[in-house]
Amino acid sequence: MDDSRMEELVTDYLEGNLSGELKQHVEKKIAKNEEWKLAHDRLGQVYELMEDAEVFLPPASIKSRFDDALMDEIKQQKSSQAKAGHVSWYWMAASIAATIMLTVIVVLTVQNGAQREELSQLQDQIDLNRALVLDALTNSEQSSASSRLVGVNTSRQLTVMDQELEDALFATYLHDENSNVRLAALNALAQFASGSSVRSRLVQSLHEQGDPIVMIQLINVLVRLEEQKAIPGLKKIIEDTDYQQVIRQEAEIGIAKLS
Amino acid sequence: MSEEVLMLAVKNGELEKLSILFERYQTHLYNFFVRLTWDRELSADLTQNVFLRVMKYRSSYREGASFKPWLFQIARNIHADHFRAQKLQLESLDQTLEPTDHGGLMEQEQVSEQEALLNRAIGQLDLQDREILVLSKYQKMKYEQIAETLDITVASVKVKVHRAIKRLKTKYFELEKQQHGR
Repeated sequence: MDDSRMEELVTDYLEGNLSGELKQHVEKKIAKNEEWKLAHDRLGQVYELMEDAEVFLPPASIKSRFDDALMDEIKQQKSSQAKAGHVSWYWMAASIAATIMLTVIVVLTVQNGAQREELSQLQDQIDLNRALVLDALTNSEQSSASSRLVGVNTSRQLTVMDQELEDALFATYLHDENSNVRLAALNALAQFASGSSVRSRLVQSLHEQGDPIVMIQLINVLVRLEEQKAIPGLKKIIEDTDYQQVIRQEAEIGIAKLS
Repeated sequence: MSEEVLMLAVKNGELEKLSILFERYQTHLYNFFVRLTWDRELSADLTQNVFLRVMKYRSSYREGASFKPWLFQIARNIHADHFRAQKLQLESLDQTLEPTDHGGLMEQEQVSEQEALLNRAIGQLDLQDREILVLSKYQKMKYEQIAETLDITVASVKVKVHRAIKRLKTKYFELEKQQHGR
């Protein structure tokens, strides 16, 4: 047996990777063969030194700085929650108002004048919902994750996507600090992906989205949309080892389904 | 309470639970950085930055993920970010980078002559080898945890550990020979 194989086996033995007959064979070699014993003892010395190495104690200042930072973050969180309480009431009031309007519309039965009024009130409701969605998405620093989530999900009730709304949803999908909100924004965009602008921006975002969970969902969305223009972007992902393996695998599956 | 449960609680808004994770991991992380950089002050800063980043990006922690590999992924990124910012070249298979020994950490009085030699030998390895040895032998992470941290296969971890150990052994006994040859 050559030296390199002997060294490999001794390393595996000291790493605890061996078992059964092979382990017994190596143990016998170490006990009876001078060369094996020397290799084992020399390597064993290095292992022992690492095993018994000094543990460095961190300075007390790390804890005190961390405690300060944690207290600041907790205070900020409480302050955001207080504001979110107001936003939640705002949402409740808005949905109650919308329900009352709908009820009024249903009760009205007189023809022409009533129909005009009905359309006008429906338009008011759509405008209100749109305003609420934009407010939640564009004031993200002052709204909680749950408010932004409600905003994104409400956007799915709108029938038309305008540029301002599209931009707000894309900004949320790419940059929101909460991955659940980003996922919801992606799913909302997918709903409006009949327009070429949304589709091409989704394809472009293959290299802009940093969140692995959202990346995987994006690949699934592009496959569902049968968007062949995503194939070159997916190929680049497969070749780029900076991406996690799970994402590269998803990209491979995506190409297979789109081809 | 497991670290995974604690981190999920932090993710869901119970920020105070992060202090339990801090107590459990500050020494581990500090030692991880010291063994990579040999700089106590820098290591304290980098340790602090890991927890600040955990706090800021707590929403990115996935339910079901192992906490320790996730934490050490953040630690590696912070280490890499710091040196990228300092414009130092770290990762090169052909280069060795001997960290500057700030404060004589490598050869403190209370450390044995052999441990001092070992520290110098580790300092002469390239970053990839140093990192895998620190994670495996000093942080005592299993191959599966290291694989998750480095986003490589378990088989790759085993190969890298073997290579790093072999190189370390060679350097250690070379230094020992030089020392005793004086």
